[in-house]
Amino acid sequence: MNYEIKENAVYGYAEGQTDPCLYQPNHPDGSAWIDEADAKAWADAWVAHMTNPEANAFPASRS
Amino acid sequence: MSRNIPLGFLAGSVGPLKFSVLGGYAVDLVHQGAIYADLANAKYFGFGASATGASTTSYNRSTNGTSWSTGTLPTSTTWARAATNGTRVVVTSDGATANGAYTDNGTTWTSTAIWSANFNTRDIIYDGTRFIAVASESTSNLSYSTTGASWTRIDITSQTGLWAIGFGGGRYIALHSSSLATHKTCTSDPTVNNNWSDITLPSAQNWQGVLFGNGIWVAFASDVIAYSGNGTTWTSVTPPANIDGAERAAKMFYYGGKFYYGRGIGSAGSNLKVYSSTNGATWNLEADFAQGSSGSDISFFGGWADGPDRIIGFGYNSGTNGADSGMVGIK
Repeated sequence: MNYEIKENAVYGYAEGQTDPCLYQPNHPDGSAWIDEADAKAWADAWVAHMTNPEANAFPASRS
Repeated sequence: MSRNIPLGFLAGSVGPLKFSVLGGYAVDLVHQGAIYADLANAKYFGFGASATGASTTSYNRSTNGTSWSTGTLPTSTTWARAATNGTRVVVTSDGATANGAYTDNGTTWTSTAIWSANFNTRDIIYDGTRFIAVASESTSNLSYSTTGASWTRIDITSQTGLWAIGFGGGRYIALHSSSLATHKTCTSDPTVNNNWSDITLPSAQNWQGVLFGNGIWVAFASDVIAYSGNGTTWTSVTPPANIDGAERAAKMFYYGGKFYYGRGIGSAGSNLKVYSSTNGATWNLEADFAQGSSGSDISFFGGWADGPDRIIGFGYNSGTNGADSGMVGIK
C-alpha cells in the first residue's frame, strides 16, 4: 500500500493498481485536515493498518 | 387543451419517511431477513431464528403490513436473507444447510438446494436476471439461479468466504466474511468466475453489507461506513452511532435518494434512532423515539421490507426473547 497527498486529500493505492482505492478528503470523523502533516500522520497510520490489520487498528478517530 | 396537474404529482418527488414503532408480530423472532413481494396470500415477510436464536419453521407474514400471521417454512433452521423477482420470494438460511426455500403465493413453500453442501448463506440479491446468493464457506461460495429452483455454484475468490453482495449501476460488489480490506467486484457477467476482480475498501473490517443507490455505493461495518461514486475508490466516515457489532447485512436500506439505518442503543427500553444520508458522507438523525414497552426491545434491524406505501424494519434482539416490535416508515 502507498499514498499521496494532493489537493488536501489522501489518495491511497493498493499494490498493482493505478487507480486509487482510497480518497479521503477529511478525517473519517468528519473533521477537516488541520494541515498536510495531519493528513500524513493519518495516512501513515492507515498504511500500517492495511499492511498489518491485526497489529494496527484502523485510525477511525482522533486520539 | 389545458390540464390542471394536482399537487403531489409534480416532478415525481419522493417525500420523507415518517417513522414509528411497529408492534404486534404473530411470532417473536430474531429477525435476520425481510422482503416485500406482491404475492397472492402474503406481501410483507419477516424471517429469522426463534426467540431464543434457535432453529424454527416459523416466519411472520402480512398482506398489509399491519396485521400479522405465522407462516410455516419447509425446514427447521435459522432463516435469514431473502430476495424476490416480483413473483417469487427466495429465502435463505445461515444455519449450515444446503437448502433455502421459495414461494409464489406467500404461504406455500418449496425447498430448494442452493448449495451442494451444508453452507451458511449470508446474503442474496436479485439483479433483474438471476438470484445470486453468497455464503461464508471458503470455496464455491457464490450460487446463482434464474428461477430460484435450480442453482449453479462458482468460485469467485481464493480468499475466505463471502458475507454480502450488492448490485447497481452495472456493477456487482461482493464482500469477504473476514476482517479484510480486499473484496471482489464484477462489471460484466457475474456467473463467470474470471470476470471478478479485486477492489480495496478503506480498512480491514468485518464489513457487513454493501448497497447502491442514486449513483453511490455505501458499505458498512460495525463502526465504519465507506462510500464510493464508482465502486473502486472509497472514502471512510465514522457513523454518528454504531450500526452494530453483529454481522448482519440487512441493517441498511436505500429509499428515495437516501440511505437509512436504524438501531437501538443496547439496553431494554432505550430509544430507537434512525439515521439517513443522501451521499454516504454526512449522516443525520432522522427519528428518535421510545421502543414499544411490551416484550423485548430491538438492538437493531435484521431486515427491511420495502412496500408500496411503507417500509417495515424487522427487529433483531440478542436471541434471548426475540423481538416483538419493529419500525415502520410510512411513505
